[in-house]
Amino acid sequence: MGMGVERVSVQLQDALFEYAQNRDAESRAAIERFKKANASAFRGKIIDGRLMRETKILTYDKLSEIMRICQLRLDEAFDLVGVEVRWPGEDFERLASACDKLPSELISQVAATARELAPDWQKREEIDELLPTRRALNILRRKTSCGDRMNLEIEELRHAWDDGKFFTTIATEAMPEVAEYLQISLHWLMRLDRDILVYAKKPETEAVLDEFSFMPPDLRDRFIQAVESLSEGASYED
Amino acid sequence: MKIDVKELLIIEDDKQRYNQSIKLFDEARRDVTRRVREAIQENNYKITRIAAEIGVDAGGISRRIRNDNTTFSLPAPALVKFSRIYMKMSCHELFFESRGISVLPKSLSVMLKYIMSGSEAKRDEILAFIAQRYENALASNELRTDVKSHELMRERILEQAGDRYIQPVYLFGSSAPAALKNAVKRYMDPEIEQAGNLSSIMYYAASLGTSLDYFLAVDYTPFTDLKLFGDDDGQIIVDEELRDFVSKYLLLTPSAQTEVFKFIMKNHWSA
Repeated sequence: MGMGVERVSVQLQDALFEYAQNRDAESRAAIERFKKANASAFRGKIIDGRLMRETKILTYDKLSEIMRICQLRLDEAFDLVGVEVRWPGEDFERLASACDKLPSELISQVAATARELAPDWQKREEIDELLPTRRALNILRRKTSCGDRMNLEIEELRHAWDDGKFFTTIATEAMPEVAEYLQISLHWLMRLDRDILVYAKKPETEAVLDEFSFMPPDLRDRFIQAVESLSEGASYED
Repeated sequence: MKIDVKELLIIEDDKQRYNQSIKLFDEARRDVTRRVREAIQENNYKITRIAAEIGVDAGGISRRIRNDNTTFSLPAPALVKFSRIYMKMSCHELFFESRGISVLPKSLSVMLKYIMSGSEAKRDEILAFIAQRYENALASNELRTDVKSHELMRERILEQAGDRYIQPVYLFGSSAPAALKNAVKRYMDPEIEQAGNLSSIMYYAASLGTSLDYFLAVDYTPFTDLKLFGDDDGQIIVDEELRDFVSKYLLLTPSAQTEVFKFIMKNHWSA
C-alpha cells in the first residue's frame, strides 16, 4: 500500500494562518518562524510574472505545530472553516466527561489500560505510520463488510475507497464526518500530537479516547463504567 | 487419532486449508465414535444413565456409537458434560487428542495480568470479591449454566473478532469458503438458532489457536490449559486460584462480570 502524500486542505491552512496573524504579536512572530523553518512548504504562485499568492502545501505532520501556535483546539479550528466536530458517539462523550474529572496522572494510567485492552491490530507499527486517509480506509475495511461499503453515504470516503490504488485523499474538511461515521477519534485519525485537544479538556483524556476507538462494543460500556466508578464521588486535585 | 493443527495451518490457501481440515476432522470424529464405544464398554457405563445425566435420549447415543463410520456428535452442552464426566477430558482432547489451550480474551487477560502483578493483599481482595459475587449468583440461581449453544457461539465469535478488530465474517480470512462465511453470518443473526457443524467448530478453534471447549462451554477452564491473549511465548496459567477466578468469572452474568471488571480496574488504577 503506497503512502503517497496527504496535505491539510488549503482552506483550513489559510484560516489558521490568518487566525495566527490576527491573534497577537507573539503568534505572528511564531508563524513567521514556522514559515522560515518550513520554507519548502510555501511557494509563491507566479501569474504573468507577478507573485499572486502563497501556495501552502503543509502535510499533516505539521498541523499540530500550527495548532500550537494558534492555541486552538481542533474543533475550534474547524469552526473557522464552518465545519462542526461532533462526538463519534455518546459513549465517547461519557468517557471524556469521566476522565476529565480525574487528575492527569490517573488519566494516564487509564490510558495505559485502554491501550492494553485495545486490539493488537492498532499497535502494528505500520498503522501508526499511515496518513489520515489510509487510516480511515483501514478502519473502514476492518469495521465494515463489502455490503456496507457499497452503500457508503460519505462521498469523500467512498471516492477514496473506490480510488484506493490512486491514493485519492479525503479532504480535511470531511475528516470530522468520517471520524463520526467510523466511530473513531478524530484526534487519532488526523495524527495529532498528544497535547492538541479535540474532544476533551485534558490531553491525557484524548489519549484514552484514541484507544477507546478500537475497543469492541461490549468492552466499551464496561470500560466507561469502570472509569465512572473511579471519578464518581471522588475529589481530586490536579 | 492425533491431529497436527500446525500442519493444517501452514496451508496458505484459505479454501484448501478449510476443506482439508474438515476432511481430517470428520475422520477424527469417526475415530472418536470407536473410542467412546470402547470407553463405555470398558467402564460398563449404562447408556440410559449417561443419557439422563447429559440430557439426551438413550437411543441417540446408541445410534451415534453403533457404527464406526458415524462422525461422533452430540448437542454442545451434552458433549461437554459427556467429555468431562465420562471421558475425564476436555472436548478438545476428545477430538484433537491433546489437552487444548484456551486463550483468554483480551479483557480477561488484562484483568489476570493486573491480579498477578498486584500485591498479595490486593489479590486476596479481588479473589474474595469474585467469590462473593459467585456465591450470590449461585444462591439466586443466576449463574450462566444454560446458555444456548448458538448464543454462546455468537458471543465467542464476537469476542474473537473484537479482540482482532475485524468483522466476524472475515475472522477466517477474506478468501475463506462461502460455506464458512455464511455459517458465521448465521451465528451473527439472533433470529437463527444454528446448531453448527462440529467439524466446522473444530476448524474455528484450530484456526484461532484456542480450544474447542472455548466455543462449546460457558466455562472452558476444566481439563484445558489457560493462556493470556497475545502472550504466544507465555506460560500456561497453573495457579489454581487464578484458574478458579477465570472459571467463576465466566459463569457470572454480564452485569456481574462488569462489577468484577470495575473492581479490578479501580483497584489497579488506585494502587
